[in-house]
Amino acid sequence: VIEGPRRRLGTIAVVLLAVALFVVPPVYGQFLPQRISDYLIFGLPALAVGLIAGHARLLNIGVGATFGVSAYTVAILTHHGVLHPVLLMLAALGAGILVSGLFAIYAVVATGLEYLLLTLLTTSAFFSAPLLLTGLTGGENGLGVNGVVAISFGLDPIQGNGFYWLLCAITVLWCVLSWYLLSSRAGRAMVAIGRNPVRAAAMGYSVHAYQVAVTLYSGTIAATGGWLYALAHAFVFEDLLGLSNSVNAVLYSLIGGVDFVVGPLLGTAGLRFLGEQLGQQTTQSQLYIGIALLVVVYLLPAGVVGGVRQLWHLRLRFRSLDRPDDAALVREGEPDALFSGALDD
Amino acid sequence: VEQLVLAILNGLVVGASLALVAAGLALLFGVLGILNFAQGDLLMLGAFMVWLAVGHGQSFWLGVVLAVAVVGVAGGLALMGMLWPLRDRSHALVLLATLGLSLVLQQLATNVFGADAKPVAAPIGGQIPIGTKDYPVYDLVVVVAAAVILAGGFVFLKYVKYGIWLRAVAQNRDMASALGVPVWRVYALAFVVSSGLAAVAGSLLAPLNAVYPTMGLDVNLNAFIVVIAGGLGNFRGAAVLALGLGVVRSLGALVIPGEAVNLLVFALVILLLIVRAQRARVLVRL
Repeated sequence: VIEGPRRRLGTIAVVLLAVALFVVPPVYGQFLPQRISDYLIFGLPALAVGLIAGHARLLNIGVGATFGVSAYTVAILTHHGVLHPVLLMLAALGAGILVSGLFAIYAVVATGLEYLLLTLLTTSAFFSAPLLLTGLTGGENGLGVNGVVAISFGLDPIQGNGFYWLLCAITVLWCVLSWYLLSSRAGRAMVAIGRNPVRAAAMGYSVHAYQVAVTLYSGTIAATGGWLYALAHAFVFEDLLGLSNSVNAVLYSLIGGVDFVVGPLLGTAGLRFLGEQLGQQTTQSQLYIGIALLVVVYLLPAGVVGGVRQLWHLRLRFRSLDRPDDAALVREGEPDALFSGALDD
Repeated sequence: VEQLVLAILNGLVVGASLALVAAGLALLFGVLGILNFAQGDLLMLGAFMVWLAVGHGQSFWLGVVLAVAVVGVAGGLALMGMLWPLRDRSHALVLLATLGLSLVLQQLATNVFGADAKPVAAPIGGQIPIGTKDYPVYDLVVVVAAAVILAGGFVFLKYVKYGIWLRAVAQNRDMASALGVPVWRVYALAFVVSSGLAAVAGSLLAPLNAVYPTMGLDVNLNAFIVVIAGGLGNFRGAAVLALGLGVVRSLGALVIPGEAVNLLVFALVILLLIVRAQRARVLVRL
């Protein structure tokens, strides 16, 4: 009675959002495609964190390492004469997957806080690497990317809309694939494992296989972000690998809300837009972002999208007070409390 | 030999201040399971208190006392007020809350004091000869002061009633509460002692490094490493490892580049954490 229309409404909203993403920025112009490109690029690692934290309940604060290694791979290879776009893409994704292989090992050997700390230490370790390998990485000065148009399948990231549409297509593809996987039997098993791994193991699910799979899958998404960053910005530097980039991805996903696939992307767009606007108008952007973070923690612990969803459910509950059957349906559809301590165990 | 002795002394000085911050962090984690990202910012506020006191013509040591009183007591209680509602929530929310607080504190400090680095003169100006070089006496005072404070903390935790209560709550909060331990007061104490240790570290460090709003960031990461390696929530382990880390970093830098030492330390701590997590994990054996 209630789930059907709600689901249809949600699907229509997401489809409209996707269409608007392709059409509105190029029509509006004024560097909007470039700005949205940045939101999408940084939205991909946030989506990766959202999937792994929101559904597998593994809070990874080291995704910057995957993103940064992927971006550095592109820059280093172009300096060694590799300019084939497909080869570069595969190399970047491969390097990112190798790093996420480390996180997969952590997922197998640790849970909760230990997992979180391992990912924190890993991203910090990767942050020190460029300074050690200055000949290869350019050290503190960073490293430029050669042949940007050639390696971007002939699309110029600065001029025209071709590169922007490529970015949109890749992002939408990852979102649809993630949504499909989460809706599938395997995705539901993953969610069950995230909520209660012991029970899921007792039911015969291979907990570690699922955890490794979701880690590698989300690592590939983050690596895609790193590859696209290198193409779009033609320059890589050590901060991409470090804690600040990793923590940003976590913030974007948690602020947007990890219950929905689009939540992390909306969180990225919202927070980066806020940062840009505040950066132009005031020197206090750090203060406002800190306050925004506190507001989310205390008032919207399920993120903005999760908050909207809860309001929707609240509205339905009031409407269905006289109809106990509908009320039961509403309760079934309520989001799980992601932050009720499930990440702790 | 002279270079070796100087490297060890430098390592001890860095390790001593790190030990104070890490011990506070470990204490808070042990009792409340909270990893406080803003611990480094409490250190920064402690350093600014000393800079303010010295700038207003007061004694350095009065600044240290003020730092402990203001940052330790007022800051600790404020932190408690902020984190108390999150005590039974996910680590993710607590981390985000302390991260938000850290951003706010850094920006407020920049607004009030400015972003530039401010020097603070050491209260003890003498030097002692080590081989052909002179070594500042104040640096050694920092090591001794940190050792005395940490030893005091150890005695407090081991023998004093509130210290024993702290350990009891850390081990089993519900059981401690059922046995009549005032859990709320113990929490308040943990927050105040943890913040106080950070404030002392900041105020003692002020003459060694300049004082600036982001000075807590580097210390924070190192303190996290120490707390993890020392065993989460292990006060003594954190203190000892902080000293060890300071010395290893300082000695290692004599042989290999500083970044390689960093990488090595990270790799070692990661391995240690994996081994510990493996031991504690039950699910793996299912």
